[in-house]
Amino acid sequence: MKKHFLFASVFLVSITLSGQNERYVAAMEKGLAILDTARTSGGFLQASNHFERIANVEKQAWLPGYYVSYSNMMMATMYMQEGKLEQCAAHLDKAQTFLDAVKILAPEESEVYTLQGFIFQGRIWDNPMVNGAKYSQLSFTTLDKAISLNEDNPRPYYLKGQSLLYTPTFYGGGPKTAMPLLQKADEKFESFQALSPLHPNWGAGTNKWMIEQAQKMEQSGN
Amino acid sequence: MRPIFTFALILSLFQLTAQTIIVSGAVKSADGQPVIGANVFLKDTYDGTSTDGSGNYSFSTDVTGAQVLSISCIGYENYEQPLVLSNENIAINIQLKPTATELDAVVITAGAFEASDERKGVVLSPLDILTTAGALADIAGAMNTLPGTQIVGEEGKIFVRGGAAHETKTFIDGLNVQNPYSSTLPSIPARSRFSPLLFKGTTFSTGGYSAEYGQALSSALLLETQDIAPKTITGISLMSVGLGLSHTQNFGKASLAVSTDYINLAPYTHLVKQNIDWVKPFQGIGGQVVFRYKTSETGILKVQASGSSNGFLMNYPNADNVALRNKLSLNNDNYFGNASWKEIVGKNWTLFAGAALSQNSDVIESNFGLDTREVAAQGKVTLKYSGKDIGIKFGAEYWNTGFKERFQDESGMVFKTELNDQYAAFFSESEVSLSPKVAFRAGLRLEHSALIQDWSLAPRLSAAFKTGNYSQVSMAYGTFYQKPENTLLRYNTKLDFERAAHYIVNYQVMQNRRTFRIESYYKKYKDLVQYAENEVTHSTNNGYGAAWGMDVFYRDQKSIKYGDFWISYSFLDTRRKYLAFPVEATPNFASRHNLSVVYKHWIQRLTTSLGLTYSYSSPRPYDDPNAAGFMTGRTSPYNDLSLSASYLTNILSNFTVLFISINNLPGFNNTFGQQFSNTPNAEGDFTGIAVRPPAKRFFFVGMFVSIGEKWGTN
Repeated sequence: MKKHFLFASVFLVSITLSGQNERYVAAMEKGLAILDTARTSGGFLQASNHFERIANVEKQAWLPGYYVSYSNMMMATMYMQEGKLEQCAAHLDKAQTFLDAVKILAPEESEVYTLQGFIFQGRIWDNPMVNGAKYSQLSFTTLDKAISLNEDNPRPYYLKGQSLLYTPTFYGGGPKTAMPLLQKADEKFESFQALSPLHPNWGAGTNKWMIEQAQKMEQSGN
Repeated sequence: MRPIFTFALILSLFQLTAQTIIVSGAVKSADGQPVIGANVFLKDTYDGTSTDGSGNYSFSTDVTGAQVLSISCIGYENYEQPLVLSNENIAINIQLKPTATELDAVVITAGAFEASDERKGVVLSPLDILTTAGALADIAGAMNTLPGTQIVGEEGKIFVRGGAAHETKTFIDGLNVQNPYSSTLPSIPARSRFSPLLFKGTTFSTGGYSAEYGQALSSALLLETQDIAPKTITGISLMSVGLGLSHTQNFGKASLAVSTDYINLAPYTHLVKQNIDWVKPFQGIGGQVVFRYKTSETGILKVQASGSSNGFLMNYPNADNVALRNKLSLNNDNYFGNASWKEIVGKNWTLFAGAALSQNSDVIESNFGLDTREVAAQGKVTLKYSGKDIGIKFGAEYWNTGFKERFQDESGMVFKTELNDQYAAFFSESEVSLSPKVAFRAGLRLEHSALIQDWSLAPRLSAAFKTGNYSQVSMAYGTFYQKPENTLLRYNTKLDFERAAHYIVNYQVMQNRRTFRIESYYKKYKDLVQYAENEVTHSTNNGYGAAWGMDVFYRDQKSIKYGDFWISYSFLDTRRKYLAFPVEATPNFASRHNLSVVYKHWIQRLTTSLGLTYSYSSPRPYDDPNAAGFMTGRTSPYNDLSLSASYLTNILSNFTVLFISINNLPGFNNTFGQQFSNTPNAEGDFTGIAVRPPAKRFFFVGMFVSIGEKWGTN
């Protein structure tokens, strides 16, 4: 009887555990679907809220918090483009708060450093004249660290290239310096294999678009 | 039986989770507006949703029992509400409280202008100081475009609300700077000794400032130095007046910067007509070392040291004998060192410890001789507690200062003075926010000077109330004490502290990159030093005075694309009876109306920044011994229109700025009153010589090259 009970309870526990894992995977997949279809700040907010709910439960998993941070970074990008600097700063703050928690869970993760480099780029937008020098430097050193942790990660190359593309030529930026990095990122995107379907795998499309922009800028002599 | 019981329990748990119910409701802000996009969820479950465009939410869940409904949204405090879920749908409406973010919370602004990169909601950024046309990267020059200041062209120093120049004290990282300005002679305007590039934050208080600072009757200029230099970079400056070299090395946890500059105005004074008969125009050499070390994640050690040596020689008109011109020279040597350490010690507590040393020597030679040597050593410790709604700061400081003077008059008689003082002060201040809309600050400062054997206890109070989402009213009151100047104490050390009381009301609106401020003040002077029987040797503390006025400031970074401007207007009405004043009168450094318009424009196509500054100051009084009455002379009004342009480019792919600047472009004739002979001439008149700027216009051309690592290279 005892043996039977032991067997039964182990069986039940493992069902519950795998059920939990399935639930986690399903919830993450749903979140990634929201993220994939998000085109507006409202869409990214849906994704951020969804991942935040998962992050609140799965305190040992770094991916939910990572996607909260990433969604807020995307919102910050959109608010910046709309000239809404106060909202932009608020979402950068939120992206940073969640990434700080993720850093403790995954301190040696290239993707985490990549996103940190992206957030630092965001800080420049708030006031380029004032923040430009400090955060460009911080962003580049952080992205370099991301590369050193995983040389196959295309995203730090893409972010460096993107940043250089929009850095004035007199500061050492411009399409000529950006292009090699964007092309390197493109090659790496071709061969990049994410660890799982839940792991970060964004940026390939935007990188292609950046290459087109860089070519246009070079042709128009900017 | 037990296993079966457990088994049943597990089964029942499964059964419990099978029920699905709907949780719904609306989320609103305190003012009844729907909160859109709030995250509403059951704590420790995946179940939840975001509020829609009307603030409504609805989600299904299969958990039951005691749960916590949790809501989070940017701009609002997190909200949690316990609830018990059974097998029925449930509706809950929620009201969220807005968060007191740094930008929204009320800030005590009475009397203070802050420039910072790090804090939000400040009026200026450090870059604004650097790029103000006409100021030529001089901190004092830039501050003189802010309201509350009176332009005194022949001095170049900061004069605040009817106060003399020495009533404004400069503090670097909390430590007093003994000689903030370059040494000069009459009619040659001084410049700040420190480059604005050294500082990441500037707070210019025109009154009512914190109990942490003392010995300034009118104003405190608080400069906070940069942290670790982020980049390794070499800088070369080629200027029409000299050259400079600098190197900054970043070591990760530390940085070291060394720089040196050589200034020689001789070539320039040959090219541009001067009002001064130079024999040897200004020439000087200076050096600086700046070291930063991150002592821990939260601690930083800052050390800076600088030294400079400079001088000039000119022929100076002698009002007593117009045919005669006296040689007049000044040689200055200045050394300054400042070290400070800041660390978070325990939760909410910050410790600051700092020390500074300085030595200044001025040697003036003419038909008389005057050698002045000042030394100062000081230390300061503060401990700060920062809680959620309460902040407490207390500390102590100690200054040991020495003043030595040797004066030799025309006949060869020598007069020597030596004054040493030990000054100690203790202060405590607390700031309380009753809500995001109301803040109070109360402080007390106790001071003692051994030299004059006087104690003082200075209370400081201020408060701020939010009157709308973007507007606020602040008020400040304070008593301020200052030891009389050494030039007075030399004759009499039995004097007491001079004192001033400030009453300030301020209204500020800041919205959408536009700032409007209006501030009114009343300042009452007491115990000012006054000569008895017109003799400096018989001085008392019987002098008094008052100042009142209105300062208006408007800044707009929004209305003009790539443009940014500010307008400052100051009205001042002040009179005092002090020193040798026979009657109450407006002192020579006080002008009634001051106006500054600063405009900056960025031309994207030319990668050039243009700056334009117009300054006006109404006539100031001066005493004309030939006229009846006291202080009846009037200087000309002061007008200045300065233009500057910075072209950003690269030389061999090194970032380069080409800078040109012209002060007083239209060539306004500014005179600063007259200097009179000591004795009347044969007709019984005192001969007057007009005091003018050293030259009508000032041109400056410079090229600044930064040689550093290229972005993105790995």
